[in-house]
Amino acid sequence: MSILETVRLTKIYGQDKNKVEALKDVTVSIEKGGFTTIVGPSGSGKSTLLHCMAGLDVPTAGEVLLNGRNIFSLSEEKLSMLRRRNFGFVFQSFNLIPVIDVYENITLPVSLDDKKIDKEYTSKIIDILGLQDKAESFPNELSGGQQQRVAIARALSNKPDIIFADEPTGNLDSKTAEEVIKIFRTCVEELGETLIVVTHNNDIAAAADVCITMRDGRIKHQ
Amino acid sequence: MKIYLHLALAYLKKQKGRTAALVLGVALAVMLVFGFDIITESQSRDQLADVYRQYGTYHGIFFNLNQDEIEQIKNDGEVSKSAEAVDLGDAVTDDGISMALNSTDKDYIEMHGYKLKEGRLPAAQGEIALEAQALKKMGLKERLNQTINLKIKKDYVDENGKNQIFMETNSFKLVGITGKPEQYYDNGYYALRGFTYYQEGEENVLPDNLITREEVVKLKSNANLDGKLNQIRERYHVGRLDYEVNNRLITALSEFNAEESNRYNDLIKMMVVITAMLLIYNMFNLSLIDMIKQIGMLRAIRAPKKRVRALIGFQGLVVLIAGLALGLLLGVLFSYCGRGLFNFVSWLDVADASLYISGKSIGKAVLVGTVTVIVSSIIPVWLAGRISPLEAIRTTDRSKGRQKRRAYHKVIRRLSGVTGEMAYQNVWRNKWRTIIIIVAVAMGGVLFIRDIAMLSQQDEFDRATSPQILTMQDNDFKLSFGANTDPDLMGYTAKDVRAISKINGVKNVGTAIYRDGFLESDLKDLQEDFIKYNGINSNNKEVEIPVVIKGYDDQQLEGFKKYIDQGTISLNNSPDGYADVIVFNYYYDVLKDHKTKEIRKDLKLGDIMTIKIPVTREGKLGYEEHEVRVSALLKQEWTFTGDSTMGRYMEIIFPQKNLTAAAGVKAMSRVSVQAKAGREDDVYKEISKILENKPFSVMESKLGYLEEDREGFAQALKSRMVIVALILLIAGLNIFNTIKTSLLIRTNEFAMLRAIGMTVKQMKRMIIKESIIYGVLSSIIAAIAGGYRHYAYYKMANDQLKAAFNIDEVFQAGVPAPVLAVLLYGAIAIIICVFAAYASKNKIEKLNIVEGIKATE
Repeated sequence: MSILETVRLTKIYGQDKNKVEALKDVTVSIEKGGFTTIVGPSGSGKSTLLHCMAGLDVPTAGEVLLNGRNIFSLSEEKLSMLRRRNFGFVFQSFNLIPVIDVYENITLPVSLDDKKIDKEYTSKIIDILGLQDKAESFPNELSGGQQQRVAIARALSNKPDIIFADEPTGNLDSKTAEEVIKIFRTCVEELGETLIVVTHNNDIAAAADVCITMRDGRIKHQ
Repeated sequence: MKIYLHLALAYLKKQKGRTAALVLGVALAVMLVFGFDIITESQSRDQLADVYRQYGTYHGIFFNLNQDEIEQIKNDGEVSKSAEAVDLGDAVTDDGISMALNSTDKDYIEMHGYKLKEGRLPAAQGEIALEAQALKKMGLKERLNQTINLKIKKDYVDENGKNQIFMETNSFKLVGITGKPEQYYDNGYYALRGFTYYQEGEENVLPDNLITREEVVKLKSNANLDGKLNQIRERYHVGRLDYEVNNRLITALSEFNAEESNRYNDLIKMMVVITAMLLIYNMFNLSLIDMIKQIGMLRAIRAPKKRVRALIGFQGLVVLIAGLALGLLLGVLFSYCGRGLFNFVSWLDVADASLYISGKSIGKAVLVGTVTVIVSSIIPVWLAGRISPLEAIRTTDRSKGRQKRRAYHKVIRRLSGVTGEMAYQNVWRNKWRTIIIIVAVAMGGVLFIRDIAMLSQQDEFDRATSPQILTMQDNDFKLSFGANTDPDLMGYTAKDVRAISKINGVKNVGTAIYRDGFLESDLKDLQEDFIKYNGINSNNKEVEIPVVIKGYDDQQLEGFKKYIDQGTISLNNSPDGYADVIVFNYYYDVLKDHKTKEIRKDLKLGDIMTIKIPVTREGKLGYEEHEVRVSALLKQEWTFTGDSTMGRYMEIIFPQKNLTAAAGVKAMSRVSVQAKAGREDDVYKEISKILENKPFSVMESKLGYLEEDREGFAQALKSRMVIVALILLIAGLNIFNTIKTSLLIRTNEFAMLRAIGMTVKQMKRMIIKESIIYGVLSSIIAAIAGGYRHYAYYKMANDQLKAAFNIDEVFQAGVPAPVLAVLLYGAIAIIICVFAAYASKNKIEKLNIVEGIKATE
C-alpha cells in the first residue's frame, strides 16, 4: 500500500540563464513499511526529491500526497506539525542541538509538540541504538557514529510514519556505516517504519527493499 | 598591503549592519563627549561673562582693616590687583532701608562691577552716588542733584576695645546714579552700595577715629582661589566675619576652568564610552567569527600574522574615521538641542546659552573616539593574528567545554518549556559575549534606578536634608527681611502680625526677634580654634565676640525642647534676677573642616554671662549690657535642623517677652506661619498682599522650596533620561547585532529544528526568550549596582551630617528600597531586548530549511 506519492513533481532553481531544473515531472510512489533508497550521481536531484517529499522544500510544480492528501496545501504551521508528528529526519551532519543532552535531543520532536514523553518507548529505542550510557551526555562528547545513532533515535522518538535520511553514512567510517545500515533494517523490521534514504552507499542500496535511481532530475529506474 | 586594505573595506561593506553599528557606537560616544564639552564650555563661558558683569572681577574682600593691613594684603605675593575703600558704615533711611557706604574709589567701584549710569562720582563732601535700584526702593526718582537725608550708622570698636554704635543723620546731594545689569536685581539677593566723598583730615561723614577700610583683591592665579584667599586671611589674622569671597565668581571660574570636575558628568561620559566600547568589542569579535574561514585561508596561503592583524586594524581605522566624522557632526547637533536641557553650571539660566566650539573640545572628542576604538579593538586584532588555518576550519560557536546538566535547567524547562531551556542554554554558549551584553544593558540601569528612585523620594529626602526646609520647622511660611534692611529699624509690627493671624486658612503664627549683639568674655575662656578662626587679637585679655540674640514666643520655645542638650527652657527670669537664656555654644567651621565646634570652654548651666544688646533709648541707638544665666544648652544639631544662623554666630535665646522688656523691641524680625492643610496657596496670596509695601521683606515657603527642588530635579532627570536612552540605544544595537549574528552562525541548527517540526512561531518564541533572559539578567545586575548606588547616596548624606552636626539618624525610616525603579527598569530592559530580537525576526521568517541544513558553521 502506498503511503507517499509524488505527482509530476518539478523543482526549478534560479531564473533565466541561471535556471536549473532539479526535478522534472517526477512521479513516484513509496510503499508503507518499506525501505526505499534513492541513488544517483551528484546533481541528479535525489536530495531535492527527498526534501520535497519531506516538506522541507516547496516544489515549483506537482504534488506530494501523504495518504492521498497534498502536504503543500497545508499552512506553514500545519506543515511543521506534520513534520513533527509524522516524519523523522536523519541528516549527514547529524545536526544535533549542542546545548541539550542526548536524551533531550532524542525527545525534542515530542517536546516541541508539548506531548508527554513515552518513556518506555524512548528507553526501547535508546536500547536498540545502544545509547543507554550516553543519555546524559552532550553531543560534543560523542563520536560521529554515536551522534548519528542519536539522530536516528530522534527520528524515531515521535513514532513517525516515515523516516527520511539524507546521506546518513556520508560522514561515517565504513564500520560505523555498517552499524547504521543494521539499525535502519531493525527500524523497518522491528518497528515497522517506512524508510526513505538518499545515499551513495551501495551497501545501503543493497539492503533496501526498493531502490530508485535518478539522473538529471528524472527517475531512471525503480 | 593594498590588498589587505581592499579586503578590510570589502568585509566592512559586506557586513553592513555590523559596520553601521560599529560606526554608530563610536559616533554616539564621540557625540556625547563632544556635545557635553561644547555645552559645558559654552555655558561656563556665558556664566563667567554674566558673573563678571553682575558681581565684578574681585575674588575676595577683607573688612575692618587698618592702613598697614591694607598695604600688607596689597603687596601679598598672591595678589595681582587690589582696590581699597573706606568703610563709612551703612547709609540707612528712616524706614530702615540700609546700604553699605564707601568712599569713592574708581578701581574699587569697577572691581565691584558697578557702572555709572548718570552723573558723576562724588568729588566733594556731602555728595553721594547711589544705585538706581536703591532710589527705586526708597521711593525716589532717578533725578540728579536732589537732596537725600540718610542716617550714617557704623559699628566700631572704641579705644577700650568695646563695641559701639555711631549713628547720625546727614544730608547728601545725589550727583551720580550707578547700577548693575537688571538680572543682578532680579533674584532678590543683592546688596545695595552707595559711594560718597572721603578725604582724610577733612570733616567727613564719620570721625576719623571710627574709620576702617576694606579691600577687594584679585589673585594672580585662578587655581584654588578659595584656599589661597583663606591663606591670605590667616596670614594677616583677618577674622572669619571680616572676610568674604566673591562666591559666584569663584564658582564660575572654577566651572570655566573645569577645576572641579563634575563627577556626574564624568560618570555619564564614562558609562557611555564603556557601553560603546562593549558594543565595538562585540561587533569586532562577531566580525572575526564571520571572517574566520577567510582569515584561515589567508593564513593557509602564508599571509603573515602582522598583515592579518593589519586587516582588522584597517577596519578599526575606517570605523574610527567614519565614527569621528559622524560623531562630531552629531555632537554639534546634540549640543545645540541639549544646551537648554543639560545644566552644567551653577548660576546661569541655560535657556539662553550660546554655542561655543573650541579646538580643545574637538581634540578631546577625537582622543576619546580613538581610545575607544583602540581599546575595544585591541583584543580582536590580537586574536586575528592567532587564528591558524586548522583552527579556522574547526571553530564553531558551540561551547567547547563540557556542558553540565544543572538542577535549575529542569526548573527552567518546567516553567518555560523546551524552548525556554534551549534559550537559556543558548544565552550561555558564549559567556563573554553574554556578559558584555548584560553589562552594557545594565549600565543604563545603574543611572536610571537611582534617579527614578530619588524622583519618588525627593520630598522625603529634602525634608530630611534641606537646610532651608529644616529651618522652617513645622511652619509653612517664614517671613523675614533680606539684606539692605537695618534690623534695629525695620520689622513686622504688631498690626502686621494681627493681619497675618486673621488670614482665613492660617492655623498658627509665631514671632521671633533677632538682634546682633556681643558676648563679653575672657580670652582664656574661648576655644583656641575659635580665636584663630575669628582673627581675635590675642593681646587683649577681655574680648567681645559677636552673637545673635533671639527672642521666641513661648510656643516656639516649647517646640525647641528636642534640641536641648542640657538644662530646661525657663520661660521666666531666674529668682536671683538674671535673665534665663538658652545658649547655642557652637560655630560651624565653613572654611576648614566643615564641622561644628565649641566656642566657650566649659560653659555650663547656671553660668552668668554678660551680653550687649542694641537698644534705642530716647531716639539714640547704643549697646546695653545685660547679665544672663545659662538655663539650657542646645545640641550641635541645632545648626542644621534648628532655626539657627547656620553656625555663623553663637546664639543667646530669650523668652520673647523678656527680650522685649530688656531691649525695648517692638517690631518682630521674623514671623512664622502655619497654614491649614490645603490652604497654603490662599494664605500665600494673602500674605503677599500684606508684604507688598514692605521693601526687602522676604517670604520663604516650604511648599515653594519643595516645588523648586522638584522642578530642578525634574529638569535634571529629563537630561539624565536622555543619557539612559542613549546608553540603551547603544546596548540595544549590541543585542540586535549579536542576535542577528547568532542567527547567522546557528543557521544550520535552526534549519534542523525547523526540519524536525519546530514552527516559525516556536522559533521566534525561543529567540524572544533568549532576549528576555538578557533583559532579566541585565536588570538583576542593574538592580544590585543601582540599588547600592541609591543606598550609598543616602549613607553619604547621613555620614556627612553626622560628621558635621552630630546628627545620629537623618533618615529615621531608613533607606527606602528602590523597588518601583527596579521593576520599571526591568520592564524597559526586557522591552529593549525583545525589540532587538523582534527586529531580527526577518532572518527566521526567511530561513530556507534546505539551505540551512546544507550550511556548515
